[in-house]
Amino acid sequence: MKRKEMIVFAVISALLTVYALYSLIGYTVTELKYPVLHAGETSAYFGGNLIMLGVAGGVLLLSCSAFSVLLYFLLKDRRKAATAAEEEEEQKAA
Amino acid sequence: MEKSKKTRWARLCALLLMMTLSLAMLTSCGEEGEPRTVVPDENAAATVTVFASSGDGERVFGLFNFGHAFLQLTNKSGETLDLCGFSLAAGESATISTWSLTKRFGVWFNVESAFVKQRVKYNDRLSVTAPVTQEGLAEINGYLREKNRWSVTANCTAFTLGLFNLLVAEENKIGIAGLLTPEKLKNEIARFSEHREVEEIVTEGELGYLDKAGNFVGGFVME
Repeated sequence: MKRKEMIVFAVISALLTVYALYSLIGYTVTELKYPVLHAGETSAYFGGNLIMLGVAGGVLLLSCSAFSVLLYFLLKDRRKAATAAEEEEEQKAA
Repeated sequence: MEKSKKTRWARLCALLLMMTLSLAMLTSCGEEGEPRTVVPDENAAATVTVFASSGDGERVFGLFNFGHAFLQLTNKSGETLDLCGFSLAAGESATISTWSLTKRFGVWFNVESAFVKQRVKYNDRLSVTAPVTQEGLAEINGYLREKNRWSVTANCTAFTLGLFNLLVAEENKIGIAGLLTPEKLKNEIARFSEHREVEEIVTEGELGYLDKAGNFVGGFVME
């Protein structure tokens, strides 16, 4: 994958991470606002929000991982390029 | 080489655009149809009111809220109706729909009525009432047991629409194409000249669900 493509994917995964985080907070707040049904010791929670919480959590995990990996490779490439430039300068100076 | 890459990107963008458009078409409200009227039956043993709320006013920016659809069954006969173990006494009403509640993904009784009693909910709801036929009343328990589940496709709207169409006469049935959403049902309800906005929901009645065997389990309270 080229550097340009890696930057595009890193930006997309970063945006996805932000949205997933927003969703995670949003659905948590929504679920907390919903009432709980009780029958003795049995409780029932609104599962629709919990499903969306799971989805948002999954997306957050994936997008965050993808962003981290892409960032790692981008920084690695940059470091490699910087080291190569330094070595070239040293060789020229020698 | 560069050209083929550009073509690949263009194809990917076109594919995403097509998928977005297809989804939009599938869930779109569609055009408004011809106005309708409910065919009455003064001797009906029960009436059924179909409610649909598209979730307007409860929507949080960026989060999904598709709304909710449910029925209110009112016993007009002099006898108690048995709904899989739930007793609907003469003159009483109960709300019925499917919910994805952690205790049971399936049919729940009186969740909406308890909800409305406790919270400001379904404020954009539209409803229409139709008489229940004797044939429909005879088949209701079979339907409740058969559709005692919840999924994205077997959702509250699918259950509500199916039960409404089972209970009412041919002339009062509602037809919706594509993916069933509360928004689409709301648009269909709006076609009836007798439709009501934010109709009162009876807030008394035992709260409970149908277990796996299709028997009513009650005694729940909303806190």
